[in-house]
Amino acid sequence: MEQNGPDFALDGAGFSAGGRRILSPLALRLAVGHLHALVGPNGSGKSTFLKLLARQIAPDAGTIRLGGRLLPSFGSRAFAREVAFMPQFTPATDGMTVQELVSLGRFAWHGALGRSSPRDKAAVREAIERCDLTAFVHRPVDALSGGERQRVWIAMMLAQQSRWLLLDEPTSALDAGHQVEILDLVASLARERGVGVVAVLHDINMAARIADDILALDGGNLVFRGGPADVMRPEVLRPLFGPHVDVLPAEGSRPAVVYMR
Amino acid sequence: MKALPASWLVVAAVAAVVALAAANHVMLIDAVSTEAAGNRAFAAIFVARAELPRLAMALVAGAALGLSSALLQRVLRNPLAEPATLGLSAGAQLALVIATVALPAAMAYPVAVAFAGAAATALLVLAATARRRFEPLAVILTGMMASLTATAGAAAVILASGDYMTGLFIWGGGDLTQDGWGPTLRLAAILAVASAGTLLALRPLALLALGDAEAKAAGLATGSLRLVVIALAVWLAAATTAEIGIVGFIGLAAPLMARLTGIRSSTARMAAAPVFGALLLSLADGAVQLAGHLTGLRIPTGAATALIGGPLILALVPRIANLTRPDVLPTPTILSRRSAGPVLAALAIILMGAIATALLAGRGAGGWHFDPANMDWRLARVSLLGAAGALIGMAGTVVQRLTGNPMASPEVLGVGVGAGAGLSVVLITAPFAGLAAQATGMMAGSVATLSVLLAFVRRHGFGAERLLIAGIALGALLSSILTSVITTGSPAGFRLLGWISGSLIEPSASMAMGMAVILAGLTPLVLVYARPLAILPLGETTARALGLATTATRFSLVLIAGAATAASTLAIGPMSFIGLIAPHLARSLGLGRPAAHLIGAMLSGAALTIWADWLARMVAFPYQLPLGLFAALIGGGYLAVRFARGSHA
Repeated sequence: MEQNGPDFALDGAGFSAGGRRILSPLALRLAVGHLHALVGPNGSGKSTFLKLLARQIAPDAGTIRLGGRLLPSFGSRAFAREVAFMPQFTPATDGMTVQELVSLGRFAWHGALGRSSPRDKAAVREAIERCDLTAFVHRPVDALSGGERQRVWIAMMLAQQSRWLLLDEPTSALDAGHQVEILDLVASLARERGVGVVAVLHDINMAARIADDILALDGGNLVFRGGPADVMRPEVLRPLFGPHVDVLPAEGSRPAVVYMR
Repeated sequence: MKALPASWLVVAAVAAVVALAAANHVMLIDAVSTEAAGNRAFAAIFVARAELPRLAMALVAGAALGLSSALLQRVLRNPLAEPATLGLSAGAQLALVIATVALPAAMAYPVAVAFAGAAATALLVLAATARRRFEPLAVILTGMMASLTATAGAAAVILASGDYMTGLFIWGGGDLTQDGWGPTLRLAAILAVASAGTLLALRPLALLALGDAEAKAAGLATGSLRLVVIALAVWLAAATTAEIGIVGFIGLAAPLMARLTGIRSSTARMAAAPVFGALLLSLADGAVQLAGHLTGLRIPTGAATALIGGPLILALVPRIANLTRPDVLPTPTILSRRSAGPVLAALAIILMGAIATALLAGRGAGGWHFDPANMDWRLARVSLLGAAGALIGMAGTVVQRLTGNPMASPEVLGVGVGAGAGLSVVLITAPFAGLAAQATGMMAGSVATLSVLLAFVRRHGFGAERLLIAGIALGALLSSILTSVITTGSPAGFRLLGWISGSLIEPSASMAMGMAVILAGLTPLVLVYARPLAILPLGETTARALGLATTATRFSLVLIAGAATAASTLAIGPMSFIGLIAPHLARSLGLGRPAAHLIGAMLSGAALTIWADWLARMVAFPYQLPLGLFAALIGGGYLAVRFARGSHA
């Protein structure tokens, strides 16, 4: 297999728990520099898929490689320099300020003892500016609104300066306006920096809006993969989300829209 | 939640109780016949006046504890409430011990004395937590604190009255030995009255389970109902304590088993709790008697219930879905931040003040005096305690950040008692071992305890309640081992008793130097982990995503916290609660970053310990009270004030 950039390569990687298959063995490749969206109904294995990539859980079959290297062969910090992961539910931050939390993103680079270098400081500053958090740097994260807090976690991932961002429903707690804002931010980062993104997204319209590559999971199986235009078709979506789903085809500047009949 | 087959469980338990009783009966008759040279009449009397009443007492007392806990849990909507965790038993015990020593005439009415103690404790705990709407964790922590203070108080009275009072301690550990039917019948009568009361209250209680607002909407006077039911539960608990001493875990385990057997209706559960309580206690007591027959050791039944109940709770905790009541979920308080420099400087000045007070101020035959004459010998003591206080402050901060739980501490999680278990192993296996061997044993004990807890929560998820229940269960399990050792009456036991209520070592320049060396060694080591300590409270997932090697890091931190706990308990005992209070205090002063938090907690830990010791020496001059008692008082007062102000602890 040829290597160009640190792509994810799954070779028969699957996961089961308690005798139940949660993710059937998958063989696929995710290219860095692209935004891959994972869609599918609840319990389809999206989060499990993401956790496998993030090395939060280990596959019980097959292997996962990053840039040709098996995931277990990375050290803790070395892996975090390649892959940043944001879980669906971000934890309480124990009174930490925005500045402090975002700075933790640099742990993978300076470790427990290393001094915080000018490069570390620059990365934190840039992440904070990028996520439009300059006004909040000294505020406790817990005191921010849901949307602001989400931006802080994304800023922390940016400060990590990894090649991959893995996001599990990054906008689940947000209203439509904030969702667009956050996802556009992530998408523009992927384009500008050649970062790879894998995001679990609940909203298929949102996925079609920002992703280059959409993977649809159902019952632990990959049932469809393609670009936004390929996915936005009733015959693809109905098996996943039920018979009421329909698609309004794109028209002029308006993209295709999925709606419930 | 998978249901256990209730009927099978009951059948198995009944069979076990019968089998144990039969085995004990055979051995008892054997022993009595040998001693009384085949006197059958004597054996018959023994059976009628000792053996049968004891079995009946186990059943009745177990049922009383089960009912009392079921009532408390229902009315407080708190699955951890029971006479032992709320401090009712310990309050009753303290009242009984004080009455025995100071007012023997009152002991003609032991149930009344016990009720006074238990009711006072209940009022204290409930008053302190009323503003937090009796939030389960706050109630349990306050209860534990009250319980420990009362136990330390009782131990102090026992120690002060000389070693002939050790018998009181055996009773305190729960002793079911009977010499007639009187106590059993008294308790049975109380149980009958309380059961009738429960029957009357069943329907309103079912309403209360829905929630306060709903119950009020349905026309229920929730306040007075609560008061009546709690009084009933306190009465049951006090009467049981008066007759057989403190028997923990039955109250916790019986309703939990009733819940997990899949019994749906709340009325049936209320009825099942006493049944399970009776079975559990008679099982434990049968096992204790059997052990006594086989080995000749007299283990208090209360120690055995903890020995059985501790692992039982640990096994059941993962099956408890969620203990937090959504209606009283504490809103996370945003702790303010201050710049660390001035706060730490202020804390250092306060510590200096504490040191100066302890060195200079004292009471003598002629009243208060203030002179540097006694500085030399006080210096060793103050530096020993200061270093030990700093160490427990350090351990507390590490434990709270390791678990991401501000209610955790070496004391709450039983890490200090774990050190004691290690110590007791050394004391028993090598009575003449030096201090180094004892300290090593303690460190092994505390590290093992903390490791077990962390492994447990890692497997079953870090829930605040789960961790605390597991810690409480483990702590009780370990302290039951300690109680068993203490009741042997051996020199090892007496040393352990001294250690529990305060101190194992006498202050001397070399001890102070040793403690200072440990502090100086551990401080840079723990500061190395400042960044990981900022990351760990965010949880396993985030910590790993950020690139922290969580397993290795946790292991090192457990070693550090274990060593710090073990060393500090040498000087201040396992139950100072300074490990809970000091990190808390530092945090509420605005020290949020790990390094500042650690140093702040160490400074406050040192100051608190020195003050507690000074008070312990001054308050009852010329007698010295145990340091542990005062530390628990300070800690309990601090928590009570914080809870009462309605702030999130």
